[in-house]
Amino acid sequence: MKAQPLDVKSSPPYAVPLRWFALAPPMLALTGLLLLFEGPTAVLSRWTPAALALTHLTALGFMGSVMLGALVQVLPVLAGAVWPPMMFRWHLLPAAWGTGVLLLAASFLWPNPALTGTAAMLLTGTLAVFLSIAFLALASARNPAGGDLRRALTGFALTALLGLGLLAQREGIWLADHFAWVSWHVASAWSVWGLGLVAAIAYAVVPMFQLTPPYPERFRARWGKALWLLPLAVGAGVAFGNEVATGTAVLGALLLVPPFTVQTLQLQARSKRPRHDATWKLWRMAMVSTLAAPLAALLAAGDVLSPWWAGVIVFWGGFAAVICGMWVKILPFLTWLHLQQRPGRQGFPPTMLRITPEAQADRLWRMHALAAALLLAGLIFPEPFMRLAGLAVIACAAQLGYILWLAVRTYRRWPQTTQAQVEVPPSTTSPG
Amino acid sequence: MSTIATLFTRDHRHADDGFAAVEAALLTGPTASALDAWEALEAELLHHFLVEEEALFPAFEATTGMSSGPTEAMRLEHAQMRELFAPLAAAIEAEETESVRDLLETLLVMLQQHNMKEENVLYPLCDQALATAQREAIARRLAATSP
Repeated sequence: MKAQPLDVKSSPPYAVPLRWFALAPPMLALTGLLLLFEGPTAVLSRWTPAALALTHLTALGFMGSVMLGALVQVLPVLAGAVWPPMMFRWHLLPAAWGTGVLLLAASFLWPNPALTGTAAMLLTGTLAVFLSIAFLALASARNPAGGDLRRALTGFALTALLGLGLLAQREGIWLADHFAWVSWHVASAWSVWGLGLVAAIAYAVVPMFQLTPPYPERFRARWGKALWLLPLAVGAGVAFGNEVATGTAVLGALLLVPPFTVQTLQLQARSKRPRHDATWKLWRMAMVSTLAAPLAALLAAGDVLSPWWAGVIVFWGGFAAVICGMWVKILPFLTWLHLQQRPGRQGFPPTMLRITPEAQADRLWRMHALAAALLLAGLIFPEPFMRLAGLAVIACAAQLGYILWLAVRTYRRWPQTTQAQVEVPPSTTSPG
Repeated sequence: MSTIATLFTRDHRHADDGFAAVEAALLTGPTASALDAWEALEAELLHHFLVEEEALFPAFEATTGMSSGPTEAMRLEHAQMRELFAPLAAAIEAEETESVRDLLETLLVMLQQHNMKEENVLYPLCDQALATAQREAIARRLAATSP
């Protein structure tokens, strides 16, 4: 029988999003290792092999894997989408994605047409399958969240097509203004894919986790559509060369990005919760960074700053902060939810802060902030700070992996090994 | 008249205020005031669940013939949340700060993702399916003890 919106059968099994999430810590650790070994040479230019490998390990391996896993989980919750059962059965999708990212990074470090071709086929194939199923799942979603998610997924498709075009240019299959196309690819990735998805999730989770007022309906209806002006304008600018394309991207970012970040910061300031946890702090950092990023891009376009400033602020200050903030909420919640729904369950399953203690979330926040500071210091004094930043990124990856391991261990072992600690609800353990 | 989506969403936001009041009372006030704040929130949530389970969901199921889809999932989630209520009250009374924070956090996330599903998907479906008279009767029931 066909599942209906919100049907229990339309919720993904525990392991499905986690297979995607499990890719993120090792991919981030590889990014850290590259920074550690390359040190200052990694940031000499944005075009070095190491720089390209770093960028794509972060954007596709770390961020992309988490974003795809999050989509599996949130489509039914946010939009009432009904996943076709194949999404829960095709376990090879995350493996194909992870392999594709590794081969792509390897093809930047050790250029080889066979590596590039295989990476392109794996990544394009996985994404084509994922996006086709996602659009199918969203077909009946007629709510605003469905529209936000469809636009973000279309943004991912555009970014991937532009990336494919760039790989074809690199292999000499097709000639075009490579740098102008890179501006288009980056503008699309940052805006309609990355920020588009962050906004679609923020509209739900900022009011939800932080008890803020909702985003104004008019803002929500207009901003996501207006954001598309950025890649469309840059695409038109490509015909006039790199300077026009880059200038359009910077101007577009200066005009279109701040309304979302300012709106989110204003809402956060009106949070009804008296305590601010790690997620609140990480979202705050993400929004401040995303607000600063267009300015960094402007200064980079004027050769005042290295483009790496914009890169670090966007990737680490913005997207990685959101991911870390969500990591410490979603993993314990999913674990508790699935334990509570376990057939024939006996006893009271461990609740969220017993699965991911606040101390672990706070540690992740501090590690993320330290890595951000070291990355920025590394742009001023590359030696030794860029290598230290690499170590800090590896530490962050280890902490993300540890939090994931804590959740999976609890899920697998409960109620056996955690029985004494958590099975009995506080009402029967309290002394008085 | 107001829609199901408007009325029930307003009730959700009111519960958010109750949640914030419990957290604030836990941080600043004596245990008794935190317990009072929790009991007020618990009563509000139980009333909201009851109106949905006894009036809104049956009307939706009778009109659409969908009895095993969204309403079944929402009933299951109500049960999951109710299971947290008694341990939470006991932990507040026993001044077990860590347990209270843990149970409140779990309840908050569960409640909010549940509300999101209702507001984005189920309530609009109810507004499409139910006649004006049915919606008015359900609204009266919700308002009966709702603040």
